[in-house]
Amino acid sequence: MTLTERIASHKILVLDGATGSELIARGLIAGECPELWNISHPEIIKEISASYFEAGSDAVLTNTFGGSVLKLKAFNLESQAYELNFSGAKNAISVKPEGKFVIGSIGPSGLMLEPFGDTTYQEMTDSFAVQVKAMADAGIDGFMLETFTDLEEIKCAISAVKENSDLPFFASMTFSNTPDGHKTMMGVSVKDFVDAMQTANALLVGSNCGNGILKMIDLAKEFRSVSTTVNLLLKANAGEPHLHDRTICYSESPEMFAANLTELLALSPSAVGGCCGTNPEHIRRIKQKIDSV
Amino acid sequence: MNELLEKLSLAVESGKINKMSPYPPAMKGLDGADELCQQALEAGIKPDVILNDALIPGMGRIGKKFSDGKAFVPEMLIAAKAMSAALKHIKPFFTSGEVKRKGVFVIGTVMGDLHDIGKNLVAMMIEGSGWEVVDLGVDVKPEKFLEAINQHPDCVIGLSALLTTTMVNMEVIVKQIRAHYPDNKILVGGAPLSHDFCKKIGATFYSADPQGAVEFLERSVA
Repeated sequence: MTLTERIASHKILVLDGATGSELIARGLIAGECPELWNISHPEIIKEISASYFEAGSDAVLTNTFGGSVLKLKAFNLESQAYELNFSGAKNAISVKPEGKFVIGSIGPSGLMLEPFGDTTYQEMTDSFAVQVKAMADAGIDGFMLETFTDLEEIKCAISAVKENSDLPFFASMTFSNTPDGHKTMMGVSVKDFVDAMQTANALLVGSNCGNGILKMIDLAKEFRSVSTTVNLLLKANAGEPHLHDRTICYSESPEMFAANLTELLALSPSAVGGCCGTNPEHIRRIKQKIDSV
Repeated sequence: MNELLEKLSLAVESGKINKMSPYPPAMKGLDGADELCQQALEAGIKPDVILNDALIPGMGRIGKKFSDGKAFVPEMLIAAKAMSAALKHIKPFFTSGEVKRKGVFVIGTVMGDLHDIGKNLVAMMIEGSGWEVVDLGVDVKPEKFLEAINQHPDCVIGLSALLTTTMVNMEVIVKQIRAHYPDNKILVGGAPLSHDFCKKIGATFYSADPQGAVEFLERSVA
């Protein structure tokens, strides 16, 4: 079954939880390039993916969030962009059980497009194109363009996907609440995002990260108010990070996450998972809840 | 108020850099902050009056809109560009001492973290409120902060971090600064931060948005 057929089946797709906080728990230190671990610590990357499949994820994301050429440039690793993305995809694919999916993660560049910044549309698109080619060559099932805040930048990523693969993609942005509804830090409204992504034929449209499951429920309601039919993707983080004994902890336990899932599922999402601070236990609870409904 | 100053203030707030600039579309073909500031000086308006009555209030209004969720990063960035187009005409008067800055603000994204959008916004807003800004860039080690404080002993320090992995490094930097300079004020900011975190690591002040930092600095020199 292809990813597109799986979404069309109307069975909720269970996604994975966080990769970044799981890497930190296994020794990634601040300032290290997480994508470098695809070749320096492949066994750890595979272990994280396997732990999510084992917990009930139908699809896991590759460890390639910051794998665009522009993002890798900050670590002087841009010449290894293809290799890091290819290996990232292969790591997840190597532990994928039959019938499950691997989704190529693509995050924002961290740079601003003209006229607000100095990056041209062409540079931006080319930067994502390397990721797309590498992961399509490795054999992933689709892409997730995640935590974007600029509609123009995510459109560059979509062009890169369409020009370099035949694979479907999920589109996700990160929003905050404002007096005029939820907006991204670049000022994109939920409606403008949904409209643009439906025009671009995104397989799933939604949001990840943010500030915990309760705020994600409010945001999901706004998605539903602008479109009752959009295939919704929701990946909440485990609340706000706080400092405890010199380590970062998240406020929302798997139990708290699970307790609020009924309300989230009532909004008929097509795909549910977790973001920063969530772990396989959060995913196990999500899976249990979905199976029991 | 003088009509020229009002226009200049609006140009900064709206992000109208110069006459050629296409943004905002509604002000196409009009003079921007660059031309208006030059005209104000030529009209004999004192540079400190231009700064205090036009530029600072213009940036202040866009900053307030940003913290109220009514303006977003693009509007802030373009307003800051308009502000610097105007400031370049004022800079010679800073050098000559005719216009005084409110103080020195040293800012950097902490070691391990390469994100600079938030740090740049804060730097621009604070410069736009009349401070001299020393921007140390990204991935800044504690020694580099100490060196900058040594050069500007009365400065206020700003630390930025976007990642939960690097916010922990703020504590390391704050401790080292405190060990050498117990009295300098340290501001912290970034998406994963909170007042509680600021307090725990011993920093002076946390703000969720750049305007909060500007207002804190205003209070500190008042």
